[in-house]
Amino acid sequence: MEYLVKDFLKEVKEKLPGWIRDNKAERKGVLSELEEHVWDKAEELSETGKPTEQSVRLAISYMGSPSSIAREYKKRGTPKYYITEELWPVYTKVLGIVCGILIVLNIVLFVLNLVTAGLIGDLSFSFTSIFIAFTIITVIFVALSMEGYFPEDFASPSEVRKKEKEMAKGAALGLPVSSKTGEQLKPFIKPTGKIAEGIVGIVFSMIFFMAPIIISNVIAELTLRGVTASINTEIYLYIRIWAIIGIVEGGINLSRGIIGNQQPAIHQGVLGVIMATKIANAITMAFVALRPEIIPWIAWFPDTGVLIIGTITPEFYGLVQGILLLIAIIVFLTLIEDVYWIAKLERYKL
Amino acid sequence: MIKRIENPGPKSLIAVDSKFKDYIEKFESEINRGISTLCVLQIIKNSGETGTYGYQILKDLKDETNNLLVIEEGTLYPLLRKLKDQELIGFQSLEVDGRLRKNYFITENGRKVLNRMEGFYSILTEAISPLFDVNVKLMDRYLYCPDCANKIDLSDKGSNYCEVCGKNIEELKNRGMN
Repeated sequence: MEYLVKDFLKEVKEKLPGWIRDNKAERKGVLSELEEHVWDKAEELSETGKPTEQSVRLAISYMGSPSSIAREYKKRGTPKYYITEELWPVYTKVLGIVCGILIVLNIVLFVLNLVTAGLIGDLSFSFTSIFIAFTIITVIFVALSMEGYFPEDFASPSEVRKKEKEMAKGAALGLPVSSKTGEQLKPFIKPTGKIAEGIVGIVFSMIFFMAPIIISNVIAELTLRGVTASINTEIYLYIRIWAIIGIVEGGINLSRGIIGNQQPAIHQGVLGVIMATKIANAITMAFVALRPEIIPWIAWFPDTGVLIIGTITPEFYGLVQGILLLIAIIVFLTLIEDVYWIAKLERYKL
Repeated sequence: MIKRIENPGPKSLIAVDSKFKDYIEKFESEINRGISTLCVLQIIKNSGETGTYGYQILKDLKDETNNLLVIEEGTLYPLLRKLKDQELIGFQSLEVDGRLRKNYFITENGRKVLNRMEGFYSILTEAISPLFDVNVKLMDRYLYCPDCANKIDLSDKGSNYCEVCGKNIEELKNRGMN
């Protein structure tokens, strides 16, 4: 008799959706409840009040097929297109990250091809990679929705606890509930982190601002000692511009940390300023890229013990220009994150 | 119900073309799905604070509906799980004859949601009854919130505001009790 019940439960187990099957406690809970039901029913159906082979068979037939039981467990989540509403935010996030990486990769390869003039082979690949990634990700998420997966099924218990903790923190701070997901919104910045980031940024930028004076003194000292040292002082202007931008960004981070998780409109405004500083950074970088002869360089020849401080030589112009251009592009791309946060902060407005 | 008919008459609708049988079965299962949830919640509510377990819920469901509302027994548990995930019911594990049994009970929010579901279902049934030449009469001991259809027991001396939408129902309550 027991084997009949075991076989039935084994079949149910095989058909259960992954989020139950792969979770030992969940699986055990589901199967033990079904088992108990079969025995109770078999007792009721038996004339003697004790389960018989026939009554067990009959009880199992009343349960419905393992597929229909499993199908009911899979009906989980709110339908939205072919992907459930619960999985939709994760789907768009994954899509955004993967497509973002592919776009960056395509641009980087495109620039590398331009800079090296195809010397290291044709590295660019077609944008169809984005379409392929989109298709694969969509198919995966449709399949997960059909199985009834929720985002929390992929999180470890410690991650779930962390999320709950953050949500509790969000509630304590008086942050609103998302109108999209109905979930409590989490804090959008870590104030202490931002304050630290701001202070470090300001200190380093101030040192950077002083760098031209320090460099000039070092060069004067080295020249006195007979070391070949000269630098194009035009670069000082750019160093000071970057330092000022750094101080502004540091100040903004510091003030964001002090404001904390309040006043989303102010955070949106300062994010706009940060975007402006990033654009200024990228533009000045492009200017420097156009004047490679002003870029300083230090060369050390250990065998002869000769130290040369000067500017880069023409054979390196292409490489340095390529690197600077890449940095400028990456800085531009980080603007996407700022736009994302400006849009996301809309949800935090009460 | 249609599933119980094993040998339909040779000239009957469901024997002539299986598509009609399929259509009726699908319709029945769609209607049953919502009503089963309502009835299961009501049975759990009736079981009080200690709650009740799956097998007993199905027995009560059959008894209370004259064997008309029958669901495949194994599919009750996914439904109970869904209700638990939605925080409408909770459970406690009790040891009975050496085995752990899950006893389900209704939560406070579950009770409120059920009242609203019952209210909506009752008003809808009454409203559509003339279409089918049946007579459905709502009992006088209940008041149905005019804004959200929440079912309110007039003997309940509690709040004068609808638990679901917050409407002031004091006057309606007094009128209903007179």
